[in-house]
Amino acid sequence: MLDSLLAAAAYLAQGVNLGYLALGVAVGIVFGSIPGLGGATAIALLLPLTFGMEPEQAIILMGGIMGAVSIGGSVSAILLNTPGTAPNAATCIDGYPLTRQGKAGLAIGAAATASSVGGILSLAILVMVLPVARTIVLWFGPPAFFMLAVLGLTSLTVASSNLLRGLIAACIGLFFGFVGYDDIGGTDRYTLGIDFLWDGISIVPLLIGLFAIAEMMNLYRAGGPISQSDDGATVRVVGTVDGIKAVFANPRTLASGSVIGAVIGMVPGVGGTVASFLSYSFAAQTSKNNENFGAGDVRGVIAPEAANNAKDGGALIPTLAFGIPGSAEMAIFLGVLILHGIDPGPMLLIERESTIFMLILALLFATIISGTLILVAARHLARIAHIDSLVLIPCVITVSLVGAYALHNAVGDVFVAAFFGVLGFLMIRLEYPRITLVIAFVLSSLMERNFIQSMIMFEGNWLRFFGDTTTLVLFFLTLFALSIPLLKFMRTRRAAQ
Amino acid sequence: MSRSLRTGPTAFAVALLLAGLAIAMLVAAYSYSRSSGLFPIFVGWIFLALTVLEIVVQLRALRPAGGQAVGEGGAAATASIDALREFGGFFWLGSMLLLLYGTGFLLATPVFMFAFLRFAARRTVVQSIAIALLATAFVYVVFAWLLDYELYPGVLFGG
Repeated sequence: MLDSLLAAAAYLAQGVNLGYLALGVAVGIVFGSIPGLGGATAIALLLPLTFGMEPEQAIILMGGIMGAVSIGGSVSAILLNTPGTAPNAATCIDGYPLTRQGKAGLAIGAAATASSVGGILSLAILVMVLPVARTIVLWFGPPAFFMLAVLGLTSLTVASSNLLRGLIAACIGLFFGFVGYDDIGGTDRYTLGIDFLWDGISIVPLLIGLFAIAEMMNLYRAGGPISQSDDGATVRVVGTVDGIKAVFANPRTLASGSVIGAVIGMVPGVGGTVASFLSYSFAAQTSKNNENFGAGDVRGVIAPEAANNAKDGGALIPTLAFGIPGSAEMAIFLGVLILHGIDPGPMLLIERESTIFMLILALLFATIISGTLILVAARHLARIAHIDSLVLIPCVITVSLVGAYALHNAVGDVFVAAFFGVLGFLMIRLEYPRITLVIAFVLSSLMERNFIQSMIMFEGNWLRFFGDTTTLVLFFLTLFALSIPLLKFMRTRRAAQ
Repeated sequence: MSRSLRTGPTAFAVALLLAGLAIAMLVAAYSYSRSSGLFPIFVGWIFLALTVLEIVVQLRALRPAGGQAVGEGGAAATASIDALREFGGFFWLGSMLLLLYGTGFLLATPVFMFAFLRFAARRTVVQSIAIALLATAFVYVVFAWLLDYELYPGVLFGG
C-alpha cells in the first residue's frame, strides 16, 4: 500500500502532471463559480482533451476539477446569494447575510478552509474504507451485482423529485445502452439500420449533449446575465484569516459536517445537496448559542461546506469498488475511466492500487490548491457569474461539438451529441432527471451481463434470485427505497387531514 | 418566470410518445435472439408499465381544476415569448449542425459565432467578429495544433 502511495506521489510530482492538476483546478473553480454549469459540465467538456493522455493523467485532470468545483461554487453563494452548484445553496443561508454585514472575508475564509479540511477528512475515510470494500466486493456474485445496480438506480431515483419520471428516465438510459451490436447474441439492436450505431452510443457525445449542450439551451431560454446580483463587484473581501481561525475554533461542526458528507456521499443518488443541508440543520440544531443561524453565523458556512466537499470521498467508494456511480459527476468520471481502458469494480481495487492513490492525491491537492486560490481571488471570481450567458452559449456549444467529434473523428458523434443536447433540454423542461438516464446508461452493460449470467446460473428460473442472502438483502433494501416516497406521501396526507 | 411543463397537454403527449417507444422497444426485442432479447424484454415491460402509469397521472392532472388545467396557466404573452426562446435554442443548434456538416469546423465556427453574437446576443459587429475569431483560434490551437486532431472539413470540402 505504501509503495503504491509513493509511486502515485512521484508520478503526480512530475511537471506535466502538476500542470494538468492546475488546469483541472482552474477549470473546476471557474465552472463551479458560474451558476448552472458545475462539475458535470466541466468534466464533460474537458473529456475530449484527455483522449491523447495517459489514463493517469486524465484522472489527475478530472481529480483537479472534482476537488475544486464545490469550493468555486461557494464564492457565488456567499457574495451573490447565487449558489454556483446546487449543494452550495445551503451556504447561502448564512454566507450571504455575513456578506451583507461586511464579513464576506470571514465567510469565504471559513468556506474555503472548511471545504478543504472536509475534503481531506473524507479522503482519509476513503483510504480507511477501501481495504474493507475490497473484501466486501468479493462476496458479490452476478445476482448480487445485478441487484446492487438495481438498488443504486432505485435510490438515485428516489432521491430525485419525481419517482415515476426518474424510473422512466432510467429505462430510457438502459434502452440507449442496448443500442449497438450485441456480442453475446450476435444481433444488432435498435440501430435503425444505421451502420454508425453498430458500435453503440459513445458515452462522450451522450454526456456532452446531456450536460453541456442541454445546459446552454436552457441558459438561452433563461437569457441575461447568469447572476442578477451586483454585490460581488462592490463587496470588499477582507478578514479571511478570521474565517480560517473560525473553522479550527469549531472542530465539532467541522467534524460532523465532514462525516455527514462522507457517509451521505457513499449512498448513490443522495448527493451533495442533501449532505450540505443535512449538515447545516444538524449544526443549527445541535450547536450552542444557535440563535444566530440563518442571520449570519459562521458555523452555518462551515457545516455545509465541509459536507459538500467531503461527499466526493464517500461517492468514490461505490464508483470505484462496484462501478456504480452515485452522482452525475461520478457517472461522467466513470465514463472517463472506461474510455481510458480502466474497468471500475473489484479488480480495479486489486490491480490498480496506485491509480486509485493517484486520484486520491489529485483530489487532495486540488482541494488544498483551490481553497488557497479562493482565499486570494474570491472577489474576482464573483465577477465571472456576471458573464452574459449569450456570449458563453456559442462558445460552449462550439467546443462541445468539436469535443464530440474528436472522440472517433466521426461526424456522427456530433449529431449524437446534438440529439442528446435536445433530449437533455427537453428533460430539464419536462422535469425528468437526466442523472438517472446517465447512470442507467453507464450501468446497462454491467446489469445485462450480470442478469444473463444469473439466468444461466439459475437455469432460467428467476425466483432463484432470492435464494442468495446478499441478493435478498439488496432486494429488500430496494423495496424499502421504493417505499420511502409512498410513506412520505401518506404522512403528508395524514398531516393535511 | 417560465411556465412549468411538469403537467398539462405537453407532458401528456410526451407520456404517450414514451409509451410508443416502450412498445417499439418490446416489439423489436421479441425479434432478437434469445440472449440478445432477454434483458431488453425485461426492461421493456417495466418501461411500458411506468409510461402507462405516467399517462394515468397526466390524465388525472388534465382534469379541469377551477376552469384551468394544472401547470398550463400563466399569461398567453409570457407563454409565446417562452416558446419563441425555446424554439430559438433549437434553431441555433440546428443552424450550427447544418453549417458544420456542410463547411466543417473551421468555417462553421466563426460564421456561427458571429451570427449568434450579432443577432441573438446583440453585440456590436466589432465585438462579434473579435469573439468569433478568438473562438475559432481556440478551436484550431487546442484541437488541431496541440492535440493533433483532424477537424472535419465538411461535405462541401471533401468530408
